[in-house]
Amino acid sequence: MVNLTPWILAAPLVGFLALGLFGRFLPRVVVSVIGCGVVAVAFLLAVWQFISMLGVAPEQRVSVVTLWTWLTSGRLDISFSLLLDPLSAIMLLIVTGVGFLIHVYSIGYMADDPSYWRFFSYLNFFILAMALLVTADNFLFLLVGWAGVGLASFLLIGFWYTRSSAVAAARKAFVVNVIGDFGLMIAIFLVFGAFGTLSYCGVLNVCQTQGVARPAPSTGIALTSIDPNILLAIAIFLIIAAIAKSAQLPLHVWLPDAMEGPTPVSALIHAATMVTAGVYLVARASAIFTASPTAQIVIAVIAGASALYAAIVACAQTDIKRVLAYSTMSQLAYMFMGEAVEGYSNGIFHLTTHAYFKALLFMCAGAVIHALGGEQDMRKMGGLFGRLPRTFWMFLVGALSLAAIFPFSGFWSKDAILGDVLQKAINTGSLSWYALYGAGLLTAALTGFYIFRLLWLVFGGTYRGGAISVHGAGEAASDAHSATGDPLAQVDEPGPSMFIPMVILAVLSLLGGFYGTPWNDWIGEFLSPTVHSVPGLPTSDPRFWIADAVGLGVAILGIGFAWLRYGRGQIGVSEKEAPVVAFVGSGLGIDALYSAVIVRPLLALGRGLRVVVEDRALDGGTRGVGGLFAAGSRGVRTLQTGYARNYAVWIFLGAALIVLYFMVFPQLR
Amino acid sequence: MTDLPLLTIVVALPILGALVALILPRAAVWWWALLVALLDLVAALAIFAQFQTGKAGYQVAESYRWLPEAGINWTLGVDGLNLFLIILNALLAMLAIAASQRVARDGDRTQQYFALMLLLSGGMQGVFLATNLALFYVFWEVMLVPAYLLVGMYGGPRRAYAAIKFVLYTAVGSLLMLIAIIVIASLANDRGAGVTFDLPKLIATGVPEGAQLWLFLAFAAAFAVKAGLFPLHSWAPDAYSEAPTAVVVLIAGVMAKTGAYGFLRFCLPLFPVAVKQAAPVIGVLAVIGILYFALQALIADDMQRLLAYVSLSHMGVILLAIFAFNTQAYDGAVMQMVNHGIIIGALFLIAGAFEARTGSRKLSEFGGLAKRLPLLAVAFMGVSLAALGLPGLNSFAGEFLAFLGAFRANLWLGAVATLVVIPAAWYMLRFFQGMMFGSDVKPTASAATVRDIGWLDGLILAPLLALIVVLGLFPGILTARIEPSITAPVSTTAIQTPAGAQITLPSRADTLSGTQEATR
Amino acid sequence: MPVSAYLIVSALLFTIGAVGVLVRRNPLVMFMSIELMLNAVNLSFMAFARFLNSVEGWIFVFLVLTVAAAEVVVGLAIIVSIFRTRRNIDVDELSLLKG
Repeated sequence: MVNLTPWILAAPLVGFLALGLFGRFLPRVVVSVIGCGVVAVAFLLAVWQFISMLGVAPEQRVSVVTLWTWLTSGRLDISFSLLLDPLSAIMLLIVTGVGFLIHVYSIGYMADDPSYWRFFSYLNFFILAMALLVTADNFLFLLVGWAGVGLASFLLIGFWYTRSSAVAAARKAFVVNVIGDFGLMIAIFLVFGAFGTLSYCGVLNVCQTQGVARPAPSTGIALTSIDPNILLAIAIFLIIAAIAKSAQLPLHVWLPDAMEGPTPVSALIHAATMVTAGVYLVARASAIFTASPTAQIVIAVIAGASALYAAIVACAQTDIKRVLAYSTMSQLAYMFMGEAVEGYSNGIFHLTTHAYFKALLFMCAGAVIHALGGEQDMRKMGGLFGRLPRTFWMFLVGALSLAAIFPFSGFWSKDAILGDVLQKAINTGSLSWYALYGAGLLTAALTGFYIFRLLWLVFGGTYRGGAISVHGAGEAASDAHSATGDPLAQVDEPGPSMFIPMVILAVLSLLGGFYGTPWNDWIGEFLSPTVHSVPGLPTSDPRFWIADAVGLGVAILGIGFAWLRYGRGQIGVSEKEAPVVAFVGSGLGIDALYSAVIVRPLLALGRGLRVVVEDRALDGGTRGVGGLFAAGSRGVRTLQTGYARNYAVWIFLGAALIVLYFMVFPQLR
Repeated sequence: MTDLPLLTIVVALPILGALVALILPRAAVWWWALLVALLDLVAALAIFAQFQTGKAGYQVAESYRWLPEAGINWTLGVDGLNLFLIILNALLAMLAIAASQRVARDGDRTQQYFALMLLLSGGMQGVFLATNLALFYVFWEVMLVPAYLLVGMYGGPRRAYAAIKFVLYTAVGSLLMLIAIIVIASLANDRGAGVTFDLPKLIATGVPEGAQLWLFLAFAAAFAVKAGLFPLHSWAPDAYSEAPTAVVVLIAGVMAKTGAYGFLRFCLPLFPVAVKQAAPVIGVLAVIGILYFALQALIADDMQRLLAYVSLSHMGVILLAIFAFNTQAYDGAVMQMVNHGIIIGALFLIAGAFEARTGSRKLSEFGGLAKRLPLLAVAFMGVSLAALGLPGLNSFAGEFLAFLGAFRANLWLGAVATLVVIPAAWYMLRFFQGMMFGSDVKPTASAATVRDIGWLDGLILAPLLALIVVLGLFPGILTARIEPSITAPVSTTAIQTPAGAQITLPSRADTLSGTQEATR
Repeated sequence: MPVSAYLIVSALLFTIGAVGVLVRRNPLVMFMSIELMLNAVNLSFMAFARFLNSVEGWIFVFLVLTVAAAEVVVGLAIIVSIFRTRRNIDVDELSLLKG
């Protein structure tokens, strides 16, 4: 088996450096070729090593490449080394593959941007950071990639840096992600304290896989000898890291704002990179989570709440991209649900299918936004089916996949997860696991509702917006409008560089589920050497069929409600509902709550301390001491009369005192 | 090369250069100061070149008789603790002098300015290299006087206030330290070591346990003030915001480290019992400081004041690590001294570049500069990211080790201190984005003619940026040389503390391994 | 003559000198008073040297004489220069050092 991971990292690094340093001097064609080319190279390398991995026995599918010793300090010994195993191989395929398509899409989408080269250099950096994150061989370089991804998202969300809203969104994303970094750092400290090493080989036992069968994670690993409370603490801090990156409650606040970035960025963040990092982390550290049932419950609670929350909030959004953003949050929650019941491979399975259809949906949304000259408000859209039929069909594929309709890929992965949850509920007989299953079903229904609400609002009905001016030709557009009476005269389908990736992703969304069907869980088998998963409901069990039917049924139910509500032309909100809708649309006020409870009090505290501690206590204290000395010397200086004869008197008095002293204490002589 | 008394050259070159600078014509003095600083850097790098990894103790040492009857000798030594600090000092001195071109062109008292800068740098080289307590004290004062004059003569409108505050804080500390030094020597004399101020001899003799706490507190008064331990930091925001940025580069970038260095070099080996007793208190104060300063940086509007708090917050991490007593923490502390010097130096240089271009230092008066200053924006972003501890850049490795060490020593202190990464990201981005991004250039900045960085600014920032990247990718360069030396104080602390049970922060076993001979 | 006689004279001379320094305002007179005190000390030195048959007292006298000579040179120079600038040498008027 070949291990090409260093070269997979090197390719986007070269692109990033070349474009970052010289991009401004290069013509756009060259920038496009370099930007997309390096990712294509990385993808081809990833495919190559994937194929070579398939050629060897499952127990030999792990290899580590050490580049250099990064740091040694006492017992701590950290190498910059890269791990190739089934999990990282799949992640690399997704990151570079979907990443490449998004790069190609960006050629068309960003064609008019003056900072074209900068955009591609950031994109390459994003791929680099994400590839490092998934191939790192130890927790420290995981953290390096982790923070690199955060930086890349910061750069790209704030790409249009003259927009103050984009700048604020970028900062928010970065700071919230740093909360995750903090969690990861503490987890690393705990891991080092418990295991004395940070490498996956030492901690997670990924390097010594025996046999094809799924090994129990406790065999041959020191995990069992670790205090379960410490394992729980490690798991909890890993969860903090994961939910910050993967935008789960309560650290999801950055995700909707991140829509300030260009749409390809949203696609990249939501599909191929960034948010999947948390899911990857939990799968990677599955040995720890498997050993800590309490942590699983924590994940389950967060995932269930996030899934429902995001799905509800998505129903009240008016911005096309924010619907998709909350949808991502909700879908990630599905992945965590799967991981909460030890269905790690199904979590990764859903990660891959979600990457296809969510990238597709964002690209379609981007095509719509692009066609409408930057308009993102769905209330000002409508009736675009006639103008953008190709985009519509693409969108429909993505929407059906997201809504988990048979036989689209989303159906297989989501029902696999729900099957895992149901199996867990049946096994434990605990109502709370049934509640999680219920939350999953309810979310499925809401998913169908909000995505088809979006579909009808954008493509159905009649056009509700004003005249569209594309490519900055404002006057021409209004002329065209007045001439033809058609506000959409200039609206056009996306060009080939945008459309071809959409087609590829549509195919993947349609077919991508077939490597994880209940009859042939190829992906689960493939991942089993390093990611331990419990099997879900078997197909022989009648409950399996009932569960699948119910899952499909609620999704169709949701779509039906969407049609009832929006499919027939009414889009308005009644006055009675308006405040509720606004509240839900604002994310149930969580942003405002954070601002009121954390941000503003913190800043007020800082200002208060500046006055009380800095100025009054410390500065005032210093001045007080100074004043004390000044007062003392004012007293003493009255002795300095300036009369020489006074000084003489003092001298004589002093001499007399000395004499007196020796007369009183003669023995001292 | 090895025959040259390199250490003496490193110390004496700037000091003698300062004397010459006083008599040079104004036009030549900038070039002269630059040349002297460059030669000093070359000498420091020559020491680095012959420094071996994995070896403990003073690898290069020089000793000349000065006042042997009083035990005061010109004794200098280099080990892993100070090797990088002298290079940092020489480098930052050179860059700060280079960045003072405006003073050379149209400032008052130009010769004195550069003479004082060189003297300051030379004094700090002496502080880092001296292994004789009396000599150390002499250099300590040689360092303070030019710093005081530079703040007081060339500073901003409130410079007199800032300078006096600076002097009061530091003078009280250093006088207490002088008394303690004399007491230590006399105690050693009582114990039969003879009249000596030689540090290795004094460590070998040991300080009576009963006297340690008071002596430690006297030393700590000097060092903690320098390092800006909460609540003894009050001089720093004033001095940093009033002094010219080039001077702050040296004060914040190097002088602040003398405090932390003093703790490591003198307090730990001389007062092993007392440092253990004081550790919980200092640890708590350091953590309070880390978070408190971060909070202050979050609301500051003046660039230099903001950076002062950034610097203090970072210094808090170093202090916390020093009093964590394990290998990772010590490694992290020494690494952070170097990394923080690089970063805060670069940040102040950039702040100076802004002020030179716009005449303003108020954050609220800037915005949207990235369009006009694309190169400076890139440099600024790199340094900002390093300052907030982005993994992959230089500050990360040191900060990581420091927090890890602190965490191992005391779970809660370490965890709470690590929280600072969140406000750190916040304040650095607020600073960076507030200057560079946003809707448009605000009034003050647009009034001035804003040019991007020229070749000189580029040359000044380039080495720092290069170090930020290189030390981020290969932090092993630092640890391989630091670690052998820092195990020495650890083991001394551990060995001379038989009553381990009463100690709240026990050293881990790994710090003891094979360091018996390292104590020599 | 007994030593005490010399000492009595010496003490008288010293007291006269001391009082002179304290009460007179003319620096020249104060100078002479100081000389008087110094010579009073010299006298007692001589007396004791003779009485104890020791040479150290003599040495001290020479020392004192030398210091006194130097002091007179410097002091008179100061007085002259003060007189030149101020046309007045009343010591009570010379109170610039008042705190």
